[in-house]
Amino acid sequence: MEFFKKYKVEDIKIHLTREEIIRRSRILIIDDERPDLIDDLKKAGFAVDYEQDITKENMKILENPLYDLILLDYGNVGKSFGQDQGLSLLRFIKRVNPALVVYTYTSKALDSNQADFYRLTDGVLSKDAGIAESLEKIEEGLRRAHSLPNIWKALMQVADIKINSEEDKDLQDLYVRGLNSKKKLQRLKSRLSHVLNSDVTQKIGFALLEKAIELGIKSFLGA
Amino acid sequence: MPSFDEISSISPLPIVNLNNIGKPNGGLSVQLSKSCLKYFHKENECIKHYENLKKNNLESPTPVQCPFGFASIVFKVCNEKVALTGFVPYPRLGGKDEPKLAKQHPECKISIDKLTKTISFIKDVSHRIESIETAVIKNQSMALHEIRKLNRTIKQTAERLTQKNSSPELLQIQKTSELMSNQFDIIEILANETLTQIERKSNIEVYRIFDKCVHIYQTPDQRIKLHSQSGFFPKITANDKTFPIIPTVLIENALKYSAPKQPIKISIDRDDNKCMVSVSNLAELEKNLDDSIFSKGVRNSTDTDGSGYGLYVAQLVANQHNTLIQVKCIPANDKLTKVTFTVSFEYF
Repeated sequence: MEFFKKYKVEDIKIHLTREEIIRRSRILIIDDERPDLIDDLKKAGFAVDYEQDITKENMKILENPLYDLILLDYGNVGKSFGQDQGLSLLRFIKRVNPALVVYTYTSKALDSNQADFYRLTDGVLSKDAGIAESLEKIEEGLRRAHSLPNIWKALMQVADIKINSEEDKDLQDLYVRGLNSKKKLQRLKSRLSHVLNSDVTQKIGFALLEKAIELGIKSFLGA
Repeated sequence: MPSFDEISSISPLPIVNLNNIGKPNGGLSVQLSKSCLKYFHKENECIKHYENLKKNNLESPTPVQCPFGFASIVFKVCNEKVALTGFVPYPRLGGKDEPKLAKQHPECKISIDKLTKTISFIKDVSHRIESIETAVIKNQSMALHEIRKLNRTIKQTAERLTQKNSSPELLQIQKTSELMSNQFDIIEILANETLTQIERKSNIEVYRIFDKCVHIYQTPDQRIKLHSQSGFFPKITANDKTFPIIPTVLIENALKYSAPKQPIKISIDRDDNKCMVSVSNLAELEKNLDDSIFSKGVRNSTDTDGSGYGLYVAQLVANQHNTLIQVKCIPANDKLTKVTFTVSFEYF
């Protein structure tokens, strides 16, 4: 490693094979009607969970960094988060865990107030998307979920650090150097623990950091 | 939301759109008087009068006299700022031409009390139209939602059966289902044009999207030819929900209007720092196509079953992608015209 160079997360190149993407990923489908696509995803090897809705009772599953991608329907879900159904839930998910890739689907015409549903989403699946098209899009979404820049960006958002700020750049350098030095990694964790100030942000922030470290080490080992 | 034309169609008095000032429309009971028409075409004063009206207080509007002695009153209805105009109110406002105009145009006289009632009537009917339109859109959207669910069942069942035992019939069912999805996407945008204002977040390969469309629309005699400049497979930043509408509409259109057995050529080429896609076909045209073909409801003169919405929606989607679809017609021979639709995208 060069002493004076300031390393960036994007200096680390990671390529995950399709099999690795499938093995590493966990998907959650939130829809008031159980879609048959669940069986197709399982058949293709994906780990998939299904929830009819998210309420105050089961919202903990979103506060734990369990999932990489969520497929979210608009209608008849998320009513306990606000009047905008799926949109209210989407806002909650993006606030709690910005690293989660959320794909949405609905064929109901949403009015201009609800157009945020498409703005906040990472991608859209048609209500009548076929199996092949859905799998292709989901794989694309999971690739994004496992990309280091996406994970790092989410970590900074959770830690409330401005992207591309001096602090962000310092931490990126510390992270890349930390992949070769336990001491530096320890320093990175200690700095982050000062800014991750609630139980939920600590849980999600450190899970993101662990994921970034694991991917970074994998890249260093060339595996 | 009712348009100005709809609001205008229920107005008893002449009415003008202050959001887009032009000649006032005549009313149901009172037409625009000849004097009013004469002044409007002769002087710029009318436009200035309407522009000043725009600045008026909408909370408690009062009639304002125009430079020629008539009066106008501004109000807001369903987000449209409009003004009833070309009338002579009583009690009089006090202008010197008022008594003369009232005698010349007795049909234009109206009491302030009736004027207030007229405004309430227009607002009330417009709001009723608005609520009916909202209900229609909601029901349409619910129906579309249910039809899409059925279409999903058809498509996914065909796919599952194909995995076990593929047949041309099953593939045909899949293709038909894809065609239906494409049409539903167009209907969805017509019902909710704000979808074409959503930001572009996905990176997509132009060739792949066109290729997928070609597979859906391909004819048994393989008339659709897709060609990309050697080694040129550009990626663009797009909205993955709406972008496929562009190839869908252009290819469907080319097929529909193509002369029998003539090829449909699609090419993707580098054009400076842009990626240019062109879709061309040979057609028998009564007259050349121009940009009006992208207007809502406009159909090709030889069209028998088109809705006139495809190219309108495709152009909306093109605008969303910071570009424009253009059409060019060149005579190919005595009978046929080569029609080419082109659209360019910035790629990375």
